[in-house]
Amino acid sequence: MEIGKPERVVHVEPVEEPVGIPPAAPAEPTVTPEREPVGA
Amino acid sequence: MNAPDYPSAIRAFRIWGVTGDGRRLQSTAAGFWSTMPAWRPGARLEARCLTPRACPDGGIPGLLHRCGIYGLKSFDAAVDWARHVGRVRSTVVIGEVALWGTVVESARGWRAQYAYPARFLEATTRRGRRPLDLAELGGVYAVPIGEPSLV
Repeated sequence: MEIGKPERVVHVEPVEEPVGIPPAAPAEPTVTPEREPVGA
Repeated sequence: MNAPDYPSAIRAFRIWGVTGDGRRLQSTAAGFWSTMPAWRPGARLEARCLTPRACPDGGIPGLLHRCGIYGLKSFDAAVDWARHVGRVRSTVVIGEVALWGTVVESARGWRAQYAYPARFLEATTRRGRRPLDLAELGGVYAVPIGEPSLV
């Protein structure tokens, strides 16, 4: 397929996922133990 | 890192082939993949380049290379492309595609780093073959079917 000579590069970052792509699952929260587990 | 030039995906026209069961899209040429890339439902397709030296800054697609996922600015050009590909493929889907990431713009189209189908417009099936159920395909990819949304 011929689309012609390249003219410029652009950077495209959609704010939302395009239609059809499920949004990424939120990251699991990191739980920090309040104190060292016994035996650690 | 550069600030984005656009906050939403670019829409373009393109064509696809389909697998034998009519439920998965395939690109109609291997391009710079080693095999014909399959378009997975719910997941973006990422461009690859077999000759990374042609993209010296590491960005795929490179400005002066031919790699990337293609989209056309004109619906008529997509129809012409479909007619050409229809000589060798039994079923061809014409639709709109969302393009994003690093995108190279040319006079008549785009080459992109990432892509996902955005809308299915029509399908042509060679005589004697079972017509493609475009609504079913739209359901598989969770995208609408119908008239072009691009002007």
